[in-house]
Amino acid sequence: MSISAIKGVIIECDIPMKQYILRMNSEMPNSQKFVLRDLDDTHLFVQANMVTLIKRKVEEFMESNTYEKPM
Amino acid sequence: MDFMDYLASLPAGKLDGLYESLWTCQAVLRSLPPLGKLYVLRLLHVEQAVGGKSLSDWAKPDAGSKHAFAVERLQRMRVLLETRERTGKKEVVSYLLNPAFQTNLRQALCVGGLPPREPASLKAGARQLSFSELDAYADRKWESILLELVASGSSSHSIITETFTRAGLISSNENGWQITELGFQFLLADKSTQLWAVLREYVAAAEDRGMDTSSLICFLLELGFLVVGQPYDTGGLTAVELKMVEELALLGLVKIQKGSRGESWFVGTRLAASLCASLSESSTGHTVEGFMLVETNFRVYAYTSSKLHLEILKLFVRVEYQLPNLVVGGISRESVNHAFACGIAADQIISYIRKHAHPKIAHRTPILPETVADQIRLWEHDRNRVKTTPAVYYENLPSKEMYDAVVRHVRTLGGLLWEHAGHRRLVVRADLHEEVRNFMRKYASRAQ
Repeated sequence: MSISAIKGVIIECDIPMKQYILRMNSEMPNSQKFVLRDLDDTHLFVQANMVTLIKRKVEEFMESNTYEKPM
Repeated sequence: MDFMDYLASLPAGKLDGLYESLWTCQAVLRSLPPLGKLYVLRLLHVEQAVGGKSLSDWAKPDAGSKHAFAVERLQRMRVLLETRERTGKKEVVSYLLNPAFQTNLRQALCVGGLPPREPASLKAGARQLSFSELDAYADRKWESILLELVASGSSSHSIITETFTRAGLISSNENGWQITELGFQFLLADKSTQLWAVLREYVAAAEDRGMDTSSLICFLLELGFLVVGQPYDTGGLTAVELKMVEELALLGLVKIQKGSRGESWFVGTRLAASLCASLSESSTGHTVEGFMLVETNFRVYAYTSSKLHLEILKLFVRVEYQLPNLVVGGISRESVNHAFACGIAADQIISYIRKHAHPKIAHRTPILPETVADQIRLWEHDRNRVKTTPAVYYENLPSKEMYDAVVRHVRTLGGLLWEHAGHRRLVVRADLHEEVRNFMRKYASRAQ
């Protein structure tokens, strides 16, 4: 087998966050799945064009966990 | 980088030219590290070059690093000129004090330092201002500039807008002017850092306009030696200096007084006097009165009526009440996140709070409750929970040997992001892809 090289983006995060990103991936339609390789507990290799979307979703997820009292 | 680094980065000829001014020499002397000052004074009346060996003998063996630092600094400022001569096989290094610098400094020390300019006689109609009057004036000027920066991202004075743009503090887009990440960080810096950053860009901008920067820099440094509060006649200034006085007045470095018969004077403020003081790390300048109290429950009380302080606070505090002399608010995850989004780091927020602590709590340790400081850092950390790096993933490397060689090579380049020896897979920073591919090709052809 010849050596293969894939271009993309490596994501480094904590364990729960990786699980959240994996779930996000599984909920995507097949054409939009972005996880290319599941490296280990804290690393994922994903498609470069989806990074902004992932970051936005992660931010939304963290926002949904906090509550700010109104003025 | 401070202003002296800027001077050191000037071409040699230009820097030598600057030493023709008495005031530049004195300002540079003040900015030197203590050992550097000592060496300059020792060499002041030595006409010949001093051998490198005897110079290093002056320092105790255990002070070698300080000695090297001082000599390096002296050389960078071209105060000490190095000459290398070859005699036989050995190379002899000797040092000579910059002659222009030497002459001027000798004059300053032996003849005595006159004030750079004759103060205008008070009879002529100029008014001597009190320190507090001038301080209030300088603070108001400086604040109004920063306030404009915060509010609209630009200044009504084109020269200031230009200078700030050059410094990268503001940038223009289709919606007009906008403050940049660097600009937000600039707001939280202390005053002398701000001042020098602005002045450095001011000088650089003047150079682009084709002005002679030597006279500009000389005048700037001379300003630091003027007696605070003393009016000086503008009649003795050159056209360049006159223009500069007007522009510096915008920054609050000088105040211009106008007489009834069209004559005018300029008065250096404490801000101007701190120009030279801020050069040496030993002096702290005049410390600003703090106004902030932060409690362990994240409540913030800021005793201030300054609009600028309020604007800066709004960057990382949720302001709840505003009384004439008091702002009450809270630090929350959202408010701090807003600051992070502007490009401000947690440590910058923390150091700002510490620096502006109210005198009542300034002697306490820690000034900022640790719970608050830690929480701000944790929030910052939380934002960076997901770290992404563009990369290339390699798999199916044919042999263990090749895998090891590639990993070693990438590691020395500092580009290895992830590896799995068992499966012979690795992830490398994207910009090293060409490099890795070539390396693999070469390895494969060698192995055959």
